[in-house]
Amino acid sequence: MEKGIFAYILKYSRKQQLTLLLMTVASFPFYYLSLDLPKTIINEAIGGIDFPVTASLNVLGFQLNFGTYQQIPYLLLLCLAFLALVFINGLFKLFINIYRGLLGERMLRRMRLQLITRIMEFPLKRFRRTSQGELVSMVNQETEPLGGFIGESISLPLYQGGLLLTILTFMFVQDWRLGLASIALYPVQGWIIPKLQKQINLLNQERTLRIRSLSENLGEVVAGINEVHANNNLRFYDHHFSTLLGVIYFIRVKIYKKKFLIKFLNNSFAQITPFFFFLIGGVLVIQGDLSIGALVAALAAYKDLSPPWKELLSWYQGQADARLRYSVLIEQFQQDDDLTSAPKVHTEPVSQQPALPMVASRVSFTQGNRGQDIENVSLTIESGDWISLVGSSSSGKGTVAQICARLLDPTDGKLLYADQDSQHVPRAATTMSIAYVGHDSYVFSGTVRSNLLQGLKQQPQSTRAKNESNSSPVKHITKDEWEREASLSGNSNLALDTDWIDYQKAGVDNSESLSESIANVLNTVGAADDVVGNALSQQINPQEDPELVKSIIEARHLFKEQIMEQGLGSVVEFLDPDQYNDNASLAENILFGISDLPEFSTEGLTNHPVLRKLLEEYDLADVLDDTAVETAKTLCELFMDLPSDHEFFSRYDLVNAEDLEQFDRILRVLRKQKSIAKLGNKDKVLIRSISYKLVSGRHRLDMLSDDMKQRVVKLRKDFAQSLDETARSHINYFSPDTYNPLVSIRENIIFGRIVYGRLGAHKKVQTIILNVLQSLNLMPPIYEVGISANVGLAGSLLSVTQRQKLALARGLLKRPELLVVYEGLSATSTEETHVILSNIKERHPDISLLWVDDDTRFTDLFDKFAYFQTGKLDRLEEPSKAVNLAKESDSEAPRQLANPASEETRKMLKTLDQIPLFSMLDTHQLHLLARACESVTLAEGERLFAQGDIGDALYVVVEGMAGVFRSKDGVETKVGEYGTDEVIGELALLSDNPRWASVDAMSKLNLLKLKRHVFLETIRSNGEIGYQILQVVSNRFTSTNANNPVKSIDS
Amino acid sequence: MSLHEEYELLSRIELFEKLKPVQLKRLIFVSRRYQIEPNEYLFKQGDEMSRVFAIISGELSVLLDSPSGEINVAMHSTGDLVGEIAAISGAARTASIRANTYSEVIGFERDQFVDTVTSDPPTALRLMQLLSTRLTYQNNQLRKLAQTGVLT
Repeated sequence: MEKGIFAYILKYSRKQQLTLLLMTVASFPFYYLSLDLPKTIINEAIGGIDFPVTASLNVLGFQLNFGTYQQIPYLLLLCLAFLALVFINGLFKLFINIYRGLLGERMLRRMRLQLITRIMEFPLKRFRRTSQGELVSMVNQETEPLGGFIGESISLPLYQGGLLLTILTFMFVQDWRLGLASIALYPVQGWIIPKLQKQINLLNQERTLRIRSLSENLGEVVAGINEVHANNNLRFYDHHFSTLLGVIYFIRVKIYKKKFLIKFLNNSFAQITPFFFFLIGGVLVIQGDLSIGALVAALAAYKDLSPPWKELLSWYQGQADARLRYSVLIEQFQQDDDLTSAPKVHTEPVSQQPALPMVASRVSFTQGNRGQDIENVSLTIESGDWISLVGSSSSGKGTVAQICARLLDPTDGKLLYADQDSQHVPRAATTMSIAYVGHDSYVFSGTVRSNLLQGLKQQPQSTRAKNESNSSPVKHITKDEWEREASLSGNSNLALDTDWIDYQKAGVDNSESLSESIANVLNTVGAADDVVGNALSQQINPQEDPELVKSIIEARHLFKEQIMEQGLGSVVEFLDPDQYNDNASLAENILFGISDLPEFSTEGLTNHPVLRKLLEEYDLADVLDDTAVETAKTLCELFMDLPSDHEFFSRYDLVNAEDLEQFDRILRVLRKQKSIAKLGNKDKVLIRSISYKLVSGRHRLDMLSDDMKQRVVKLRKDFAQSLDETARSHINYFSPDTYNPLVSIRENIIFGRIVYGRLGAHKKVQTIILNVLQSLNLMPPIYEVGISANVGLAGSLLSVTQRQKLALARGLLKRPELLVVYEGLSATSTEETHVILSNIKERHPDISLLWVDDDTRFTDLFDKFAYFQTGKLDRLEEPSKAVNLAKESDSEAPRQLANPASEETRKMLKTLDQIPLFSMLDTHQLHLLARACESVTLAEGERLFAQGDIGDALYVVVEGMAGVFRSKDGVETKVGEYGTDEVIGELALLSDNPRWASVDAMSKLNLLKLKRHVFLETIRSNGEIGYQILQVVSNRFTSTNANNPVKSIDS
Repeated sequence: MSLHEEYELLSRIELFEKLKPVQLKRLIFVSRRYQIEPNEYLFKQGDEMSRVFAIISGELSVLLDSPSGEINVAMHSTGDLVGEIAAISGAARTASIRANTYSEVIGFERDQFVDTVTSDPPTALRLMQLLSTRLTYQNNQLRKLAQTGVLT
């Protein structure tokens, strides 16, 4: 982009600025006339004596005559002429202002698009150091004032300057002394104001940078909000932002002070001038050198003189400001050398270039970032190759993958795609043949389909509209206007309904076969079930797809049939207008439908006057109130002292921590006044809704007897009948033959409740639903619903696994030659990943795969394994020779023990650390245990303990040798030995079993002793240690099998 | 059976003896009750561990897979706890359990069970002792097998 704002203005708006200029110049004569006319009116029409007079106008030496008039008609004519001039001047002003605004907005649109395009073209490394907030702030806020300025940048000084000159000329024509008086102070202003303005400019520059930094900080906090909450940083950031805002505040105040000082000076100077006028003009009139009419006209002109002068001065301030803003803004976009060229988006379409074979020779990437830099990597990918890049996260394997996918440019080395040097092939051309799936692949808000099609939307397929509708996104603007305007701003002028989907790329001809391809790729990545599952959770509008709705009702009947056929009647409790449903809440049982009106929600029902009357009639009101109070009491008793984020609350749907406090308060009130009816409205709703939420089958509170349930069913019908037509029309009643648009497709098919307390019920139901859908041939339309489902902002409605699969499917759909997957399936298990990869190999045999992994996996699928270490390609192996890294580097580095208190404790810690039983403990917990240990020394031949002794301690050999002797029938035989770091009798820590054998010192023996009661004490005071140890023990317990008995001295 | 009766029954289980009443009640409150028809499986060997069960009524068999089909190795009935050890380690089910009669069980979600049991040191200890006793028993069995020459 251009270095200065005026260069930018001239480059993109020269023509429009010229138009504006011409209009401005054209308006001046009329303006001059409108100044001149009052003098004629006063001097000739009002003060004149020779009538009739000839009205004439002198234009460039030509005399125009308008006839001869008496005094009054003459006055009338002149006044009318004055009126016309005022009107004409106004029209000029109107046109110029609108045109100016238009020009400004057009330039703003162009500039913003240019910046956005620039941003999208940033090399990846640039994004690593620019925050989102900063970019948004630059594009949105910082450009705004520029647009306003651009419109008036050239025309305003000319217009106002012209006006000023016109007025001054007029004044000098009246009397040169008056003219001189009116500009007497201009030199003073011209000297002081730029000085002040310079200071303001500097402040403005600082302000812009500060605001940018504020945006950056804010963007970061939003992005890292989890950390902020987790670390309880709210106060810290409160203070942090206070500081930033404070600095901005003081800069702004300084700017205001200086700005208004300038204004004050200008105003003062403007007021001083009339002083000269009255004095000099008065003297001249008194002396008879000047007519009084001329003085009045000069005064009137002077009134007009100050606005253009003011405007000029403020334009001067504005241009200084704008120049500065522009340069601060542009600076950000000029840092990278490769950005100096013009944006490339609107250039001619690129044609796809083949990517394979890809040869990287001695490629390096240096950014000074350890773990991402690579050095002299050479790698060849032939067509059909499957290569796995293996290494730790800091081995540079990811950088290699991103370079191969052309997301990063190597800083050194050569990259050939199909024998073409990458530097001579546009990135876009190669990336059409490559698909990249990262571990953090982004899912855009929209539907599953729109995300999948992203890889096919590279170029407009037809510039002409699909249908010739003459519409634009803005009301009252025709398509032609829309397109013309877009071209004028250098924006995209493609038709709005341009088809972007490259069917050919996906290997299909039309949208129907594309749907098939989509289903195929989703199947390949193992997401088909998720799509169907998701579809079943969607609500659909019956009006939009009456066919589907009809089939779903059919499915409902078939589902019931199959459930019954398979003897699963106890798994689903179907909805029946004449039965109480034990697996639905009381509220659902009463309404027996679903409504979007708040008065029919669970809370709303508790307060519904009609329902209340009926409940009393059926003698149910008191039971419900009593249950509510009883339940609230139990809930308070059990959960009151739990922290509000305890997971019990998330598991138990009846109550949350906030409600509990309310319940507690209400219960205290009730102890005094006994009746719920006397409570405040809010409290009444809160406490009563407990019993309305109860599900008999789930909450096991036995609130309603069978008889009462029958009464609820009767009440249900009465309630429906006693509602008026409007209310009823807002309730979608459960009816066996009607589709209910307010519940999901799944619920519509089941038309009942899955019974609580039947293990595996959901799975069984799901299987039958799928069966039913298949037999009714409903899979394709349901699939379509799933693909059209919204994925939420950044795919937030999907799980990580689903997002990753979606990204992979997106890559596959565009049928790349080379698929680069950088830990793109990190969330799926190895087994599932294997299935997906096998699917890809089988269904897309011609795709090459570059796969990034932590370790050697899938040796049956890959052709080569490339091992990376600290940015270098260590070696390239055939699958038969590939080794597992984890096994290769056998033992992990020993745990770091922080701040050992003393040499002895450190030794002790080290020893404890090696005991498997304590392997899960962290350093702090080990310290606790170490404190509980004591040192024991035995001389050679001394006995540690004898067979049959009750075990009361665990020992660890620090130094020396111990022998294990088992006596049988009075004969002692040596059965084993213990050496350094081995643990003797660990089970004695947990229970008091007798020792299974005796242990003697075979040499001088140094031992660490951990007594049971000391150990138990430590555990009692620290439950966490207990849990960690439990885990180890239970692991050993479950992993012990016949071939691998636990080595233990305890019997 | 209401929650209260369930509490009465469960408080007599050895592992729960030392728990404070409110802790056990809480656990029961957020648990679920399941009904199992005769011959229906509570879970199968190799299933992922997700719940600990307490048997309220009925009788269930513990079955081990073997080349010659399932072998019945033990029996569980009212008041027995199933899967409390695997809940800590998170290992897959080491045996299948099948109902012999119509049975009712309470299922505790693994996390809630582990939280409850380990947040109370005496109960954690009780669980450890339970474990070590079983481990010792298992070791003895293995040694016996080794001595009789079953194992090489």
